[in-house]
Amino acid sequence: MKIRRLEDLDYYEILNIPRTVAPADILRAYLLAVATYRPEGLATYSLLTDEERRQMLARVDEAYAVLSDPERRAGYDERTVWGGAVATSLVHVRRSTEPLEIRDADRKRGWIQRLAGLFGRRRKVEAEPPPPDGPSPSAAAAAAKVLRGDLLRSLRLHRGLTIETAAQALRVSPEALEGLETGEGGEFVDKIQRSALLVSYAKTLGLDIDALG
Amino acid sequence: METTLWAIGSGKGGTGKSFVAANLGVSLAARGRDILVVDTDLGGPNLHTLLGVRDAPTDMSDFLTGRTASLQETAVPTSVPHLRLVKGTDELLFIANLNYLKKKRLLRQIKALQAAHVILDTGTGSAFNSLDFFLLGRPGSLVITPDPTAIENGYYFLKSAIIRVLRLYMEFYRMKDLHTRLLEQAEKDSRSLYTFFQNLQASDPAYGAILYRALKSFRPGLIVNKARNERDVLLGRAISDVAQKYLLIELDFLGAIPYDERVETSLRRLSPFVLDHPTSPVASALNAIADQLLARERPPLKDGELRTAVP
Repeated sequence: MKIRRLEDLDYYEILNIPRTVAPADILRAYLLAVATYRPEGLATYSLLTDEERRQMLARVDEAYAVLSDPERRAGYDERTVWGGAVATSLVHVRRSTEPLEIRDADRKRGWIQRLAGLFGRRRKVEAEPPPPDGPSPSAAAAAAKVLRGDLLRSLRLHRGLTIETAAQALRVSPEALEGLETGEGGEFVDKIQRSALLVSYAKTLGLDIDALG
Repeated sequence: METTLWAIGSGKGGTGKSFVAANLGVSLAARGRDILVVDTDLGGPNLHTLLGVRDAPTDMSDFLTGRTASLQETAVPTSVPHLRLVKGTDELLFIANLNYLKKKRLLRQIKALQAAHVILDTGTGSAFNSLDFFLLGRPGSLVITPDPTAIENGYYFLKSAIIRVLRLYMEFYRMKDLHTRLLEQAEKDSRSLYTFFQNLQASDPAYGAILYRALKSFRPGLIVNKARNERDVLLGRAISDVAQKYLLIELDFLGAIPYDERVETSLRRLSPFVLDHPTSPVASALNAIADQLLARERPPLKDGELRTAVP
């Protein structure tokens, strides 16, 4: 059973348009959605509370802001496709006989947690997840919060990279990178430095952190 | 070809439910297929009036009292070729005495009716009797008009139908009282259906899956009647979207029928509107709705289909 909650809806679903929608139709869909959820909207009369309308209107605005901007839309498409199609294909590579976490995962969780479920040791991620869909200027910073060393280690092994190769690419010592992966070692006590390295490590491993914005 | 069974319902009087049922019948009959329209509005049948049938030698009461063995035999011809009618009854005796067994028998007989298309005009409102006839339809279509009262009653109708569907499944599977209590809570506000399913999923995932599938297979249609402009047409699209988001159901918007003041005139002449005005926008809208319904690939519900829902 998979119930799609309002929080699970992507921008296209919020505006009730297909992913292939032409730019001109996005505005029409937006205007209809605003007419639907505005306080005196006839289509939601008696069904929704003012608070529910407000919440949906906020998401409608957010969806329009992203989808109406070709660049942001492309980034959003790429990111959401990554969370779906590509990640699922990784599962097949893994040939796991275990339940596929990626499919069972709560959609509320970001792709990073899903990835953690995919590669990690089935450990709950304590950090706050980044907003999975929300456009955020500091998406990379938010992502850094949940990028875990062990997750990146799994990803590196999945890519078939040795610690030395990865360290060379990042221009850090293998020991430092090892410390980052295991969470031990004192080289990166500085939080900011540590996040920065996690982000560049993630990028090196092919995680398109920037596209998150 | 198998018989299709469509129901037309409404949460409120005056939306034109019977008008839609009657003229959809006329419109389909013009295509040369055998159409049977059935008036199951037990409180106030008037489908016969819309079709210009003043006196029918037999009606539903003949079946209910056992004067005829089947409901099929009570069908009478109308002035429209290929269109027959099972006239409803307004005898208080039957409305008061439509007990569970009688209703079951009537529902079974409706399912057994022989025609290319059977169209049910169901009672207005959200009473169990109306809902049960509406739920027979594959699909049942809800008629609304673009005004707040019709929309309010329309949502109430949909919510009641959802609860009814879930309840019928619960009874069928003899689900625990706990779940019934959960469902009672679900009637309260628009988001509580989520909560209901969440709780159910936590306490009993197997039942949760059955009920969720039941909800998804309840796929009513939506018709906006008396539409005056483009905005009223878009209203149908918006409501179908809102129902999917907040009521978790697929509500197929089948189309909008434009407002036409000549409808009143036809009514007074006891003549079906689309027969008087076959090329009017109203007639083409009804034709388009008929096409939509025909295009919907929905095999009729077979006996025992409930059973196959067991995971």
